[in-house]
Amino acid sequence: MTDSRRGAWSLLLVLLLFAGSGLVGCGGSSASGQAVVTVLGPWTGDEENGFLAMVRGFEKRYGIQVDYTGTRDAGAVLASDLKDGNPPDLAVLATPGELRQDAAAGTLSPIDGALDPGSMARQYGPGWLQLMQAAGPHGARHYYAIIVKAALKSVIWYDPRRLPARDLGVLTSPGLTWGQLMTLTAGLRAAGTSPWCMGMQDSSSSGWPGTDWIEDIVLHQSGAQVYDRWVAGAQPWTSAPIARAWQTFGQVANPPGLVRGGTQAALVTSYGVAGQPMFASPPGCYLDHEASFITAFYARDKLGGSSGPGARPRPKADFDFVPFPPLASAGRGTAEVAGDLLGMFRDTPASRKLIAYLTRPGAQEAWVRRPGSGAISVNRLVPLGDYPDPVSRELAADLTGAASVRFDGSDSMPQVMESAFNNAVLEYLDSPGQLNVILHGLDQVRKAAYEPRTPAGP
Amino acid sequence: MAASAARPPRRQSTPRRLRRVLAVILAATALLWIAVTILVQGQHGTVQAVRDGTSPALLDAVGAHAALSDADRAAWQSFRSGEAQLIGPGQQYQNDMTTANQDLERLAALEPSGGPGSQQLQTVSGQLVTYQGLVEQADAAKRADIALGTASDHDLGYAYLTYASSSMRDPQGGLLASIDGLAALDRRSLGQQLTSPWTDPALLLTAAAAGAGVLASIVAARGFLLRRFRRVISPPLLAAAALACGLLVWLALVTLPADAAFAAARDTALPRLTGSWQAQIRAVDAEAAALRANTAGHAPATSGGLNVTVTQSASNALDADLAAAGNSGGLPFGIPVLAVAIAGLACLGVKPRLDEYRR
Repeated sequence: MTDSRRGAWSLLLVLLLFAGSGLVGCGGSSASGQAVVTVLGPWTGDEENGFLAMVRGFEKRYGIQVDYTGTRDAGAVLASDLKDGNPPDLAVLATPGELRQDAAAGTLSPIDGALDPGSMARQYGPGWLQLMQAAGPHGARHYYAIIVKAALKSVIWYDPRRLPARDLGVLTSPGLTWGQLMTLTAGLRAAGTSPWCMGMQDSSSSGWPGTDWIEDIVLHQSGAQVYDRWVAGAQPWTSAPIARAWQTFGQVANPPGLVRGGTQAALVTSYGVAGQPMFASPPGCYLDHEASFITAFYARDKLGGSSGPGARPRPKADFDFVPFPPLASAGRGTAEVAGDLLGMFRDTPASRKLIAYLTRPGAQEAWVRRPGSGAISVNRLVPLGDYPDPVSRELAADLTGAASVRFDGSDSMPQVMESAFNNAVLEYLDSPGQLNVILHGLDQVRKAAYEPRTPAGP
Repeated sequence: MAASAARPPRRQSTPRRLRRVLAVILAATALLWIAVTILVQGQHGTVQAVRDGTSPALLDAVGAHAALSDADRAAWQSFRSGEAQLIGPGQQYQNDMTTANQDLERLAALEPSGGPGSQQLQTVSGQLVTYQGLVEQADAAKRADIALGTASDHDLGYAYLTYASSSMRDPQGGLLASIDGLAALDRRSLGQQLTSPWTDPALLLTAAAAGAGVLASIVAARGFLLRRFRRVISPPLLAAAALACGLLVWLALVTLPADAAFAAARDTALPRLTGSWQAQIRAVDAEAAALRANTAGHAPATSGGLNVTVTQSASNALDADLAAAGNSGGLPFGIPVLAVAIAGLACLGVKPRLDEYRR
């Protein structure tokens, strides 16, 4: 064999071996190269499905995959992600307070570039647009989040079929007052059934259903001005209006027989299932103070009595709502609301496209149209006819047409204040005699929580 | 040779045919080398990926789930028994949390950065902080309630512990559900690897076919030499054939037991180990549920948590199977040596005949 032939054989062998080793190594899968937007949020179960339905059109239209992670502890997970320097592209912020903090710290990216100001003004009311904005690291205000869905908080739920007819008439009469409501609940208790359903438990932020109670009482007892000062940290917790609101809440929660199972049961009952006894036969309780999103939970409950196995409560027929009644003339005409804010932590073209897409009525319709979703859009261009039931339509009309709204107070406070408020409610239910100690403790937190920056209103 | 000299045209064609015969043997040998190398590397790579990657990742996820389930049980046990007044959630809780953290740290080291498992781990990390925070709050509230005495109507400590349990056990996005999500990712990868064709004994037929090719080429060469040169036996070619047979036998002796060990790991040891964990998780979950429901304040009898001895023996069996499956029996070194030897012997067998034409 000549040298050249030997060289050719050697080359062939080497090539064959390379080809062989390549065959061995080709077991892994390659990335598809498709753009991905990662989203972290608190929505799980049906809510998660609602959001995924919302983004399906986006994925189809732009060919960008939305990788959503849903956990009830999204706040803690986001904090951990930020600490590790690896946040998701977009995340639902727990509160406007968190939005302001992250915007000021520069961890959130402004989204002005993704939004058309003219179009936004046509679609959203001024109050909602203000909620989407915050001051950046240099003090200039920008859009930092969009409201994916919203909720009306100042409502009381009841089952029209199970509430005694006389009480139903009182509850649904126009101009229902707090005094009438208290008389009604006293009558129900005297008849042998606790009037109020109540549950304080919710994963890592238990206690907020109680803060909703106190916020509604402050708003409807002392008015929006006191509410704004309180939320902004300028109204002490020990001041008369706030202490009175706590005591009023105590008059609902603490006396034996007013809350189903007593406060001990309320402490360990999840807010999502607290209203279930309303649909039992006979009912375990009659009234439930919950935000509008509770309809998604009601829709999964079971009806008791002769409704047949597996029958589910239906809007209007089995659950309906009345507005939270005013406790004083100063508290008329204002409703408490809340919303899920989606902010951008990684500024990418795909993230901006998704932000812009989610503000549009077409995207929001995809979620609110789902029966039993409990989702309400604050986009004025979403037709009321898109809502699947009369209760949702009424809630949407109230939410978008409200003359005066205030965002959830605890959500608007600095995070540490919100957390202290949640825990204070739990402590109060556990030890009502400690109210003064609790309020003084909250004032101590207030001083530290609001000190570093100028108080900001909702 | 005289006959060859009488027919000049055929004298020119014989060297060419000799070279062609040699080329066929060398090509068949190269193919055998490649086929056996691919087979051994593929099998070894699959076993290594299972042994060092997906299997420990899955077991770490399952182990973390078990440790956290037991931590929840231990915390409730401590509260219900009254030990919490002095020792908080208790030593067993601390041990379980340490174990869970170690499992998750190992898991983090095994998950590719930026992948879905890595993202899920960040979620788990945040949820773990939340859970521990709630248990700490339960402990603090319990002590505050004790300090308040009759001023406290209830026991806020139990409420916080309930929140902690719920944040852990919420089937929709709770801590354990997130860890199960991680385990599902690893289980999917493991499932693909466990059913990999590289560990199918039938793949040996490919190597056998390549070996048969070498033997056929040697037999053909021997036939040619017999016809052209009347050489009944060519010792180098005979040795080359023997080496090719030896390589195939060696391959079978190494690969078949390795495949059997891998099948045992897949079909017996791994299901036994995960089954053992699952059974223990069910047991501690049932105990934790009983302790949560027992509002009378008396702790029911418990089994004492996880039995590490049971899982350890199952884990050892899995390790042994995977170690046996990963045994390459020196083939990675032996294959090239034998292939080169076969090629060399083939050259030796043909070269003297070629040399006759160079004189």
